[in-house]
Amino acid sequence: MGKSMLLEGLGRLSGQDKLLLKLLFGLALGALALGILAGAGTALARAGFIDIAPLCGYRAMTVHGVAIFFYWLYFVQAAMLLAFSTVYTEPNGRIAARGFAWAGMALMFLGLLLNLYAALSGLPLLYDAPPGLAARGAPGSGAFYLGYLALAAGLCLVAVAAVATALKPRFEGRISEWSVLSFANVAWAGLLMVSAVAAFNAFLPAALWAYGLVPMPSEYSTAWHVLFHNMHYLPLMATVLVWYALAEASTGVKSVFGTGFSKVVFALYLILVPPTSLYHMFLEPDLAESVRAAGSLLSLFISVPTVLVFLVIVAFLEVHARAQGAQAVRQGPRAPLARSGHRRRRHGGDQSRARRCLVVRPDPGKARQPTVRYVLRAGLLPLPDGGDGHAHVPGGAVLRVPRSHRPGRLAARRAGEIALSRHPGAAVFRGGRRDGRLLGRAVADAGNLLRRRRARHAAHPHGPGGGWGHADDGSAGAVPVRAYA
Amino acid sequence: MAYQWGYTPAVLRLEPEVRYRFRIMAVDVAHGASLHLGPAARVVRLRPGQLVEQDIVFAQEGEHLLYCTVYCGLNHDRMHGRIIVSKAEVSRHG
Repeated sequence: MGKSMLLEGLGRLSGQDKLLLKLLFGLALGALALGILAGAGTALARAGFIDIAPLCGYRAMTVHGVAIFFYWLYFVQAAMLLAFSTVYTEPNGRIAARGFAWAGMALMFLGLLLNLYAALSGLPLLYDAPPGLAARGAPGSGAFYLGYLALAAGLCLVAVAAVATALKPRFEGRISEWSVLSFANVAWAGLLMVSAVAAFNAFLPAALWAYGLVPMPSEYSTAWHVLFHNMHYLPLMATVLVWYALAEASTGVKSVFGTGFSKVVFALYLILVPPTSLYHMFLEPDLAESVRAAGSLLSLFISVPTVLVFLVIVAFLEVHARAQGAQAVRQGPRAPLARSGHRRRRHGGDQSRARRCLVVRPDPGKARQPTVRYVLRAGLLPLPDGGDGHAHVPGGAVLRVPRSHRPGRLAARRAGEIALSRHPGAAVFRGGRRDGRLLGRAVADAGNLLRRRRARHAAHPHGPGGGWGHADDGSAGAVPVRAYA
Repeated sequence: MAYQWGYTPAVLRLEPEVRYRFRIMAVDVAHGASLHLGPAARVVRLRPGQLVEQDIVFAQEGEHLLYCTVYCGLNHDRMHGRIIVSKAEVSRHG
């Protein structure tokens, strides 16, 4: 579902939104190519393969740093942020505050031009452009800082557009809550805004100094490190977010910890990333020992959100693999565990094991088809979403639920999943959809049903359906259930 | 002293196993100093006009590299010095 949601959502975008995203991705790739070219030139010169003057070499290094560490990363983040906010917030999403997004992109592009002009004129300053090296009053110096300020302002506008895109459907009542990815997008946009503020903090005094309006900023180095810290954790969060989205899209499975946990984890980036920048200043000779100690302690937390996302993704992949019949992710899908038990039971094997399992045939009216087996080991069971309000389970599908692994809820938490009741002996059925959620029906006393089925099977071993039938004793209502024993 | 683009003195001759207090200062723009101590290094940032003190003991005899770690202009990559740690060297040069 995730895959189709992303691709179909992108396909349904309006022409203006598509054009905006294409331009942003195009600018990102252009900046990447430029940065790679300049970086390759620098590397070849350093390695002695080409001979260029230091002025030319450091200009290439400056272009490399500016293009890669600022414009490639920020253009691609702007594009992904807008794309994810639009697609994952609601079906048929549109970029809200589109004017902000276009203005943001234009400012970012202006920033790129200014920075390239500055990098290629005057003394190369590398990407951190310390005012101590810049020539006051030189056009290139001022342009360098103005370029970064334009980039920061553009980023801020794009982030505002992304947040507005996520907020608008909620304010207008089209959605009741954000998906995990929408929530993470908003946190990501918040971090972009924090970075934009950090950029203003670093570059505005420097720009004013470059034009002779204020004295040289004394704490430029500190302000730069605060910005630098945020700007290189932003791509990390973006990468983790893409990882999360791709894991969902490629498996169709959601987090087994629930959406709330994932939202808390993504919010941690916003809480933990900004204050952990202290460790970048450990080389400053006048940094107090207490600040070093605090910075060291804070740095312990920097990887917490990423490790937690890793836990969430690995856990839902594990559950998904087990639901498909594997014993662990590393094994991959294979013949389900049920098969061995099934074979044993058919040949009079372990009956006690059979009693702990229920087999549900969701559509007994149809002719028996090749069996598809789902084994629920724990948590939620992924079922294919037919997209028409039903979880389409092929006729003859078998759902096996070891009693010791039943989760606590009956209703599905989201499309594509059906959770089970904790009632003793409860079984499953196919579900319908209500208020956008898949709902399942359970047999209240499937343990009792199972015993009756066994008794009837013993009395009529060659009954219709090879032992399959309907629950007609009232305990299961109209739910077509066949207990296998 | 660190300046564009070198250190004064450019070569230091020191004895092993003796604690030395380095007083380092950048005199023009920001510089850095990476002092190699055998397999490891001590790195400090040097702000213009700000004295930095570091107590260092060289355990190994030999020639140790000192170089700038903060981009300081077009000849930044040529800004380096040497620290020669040897009992013989010190006694020879008084």
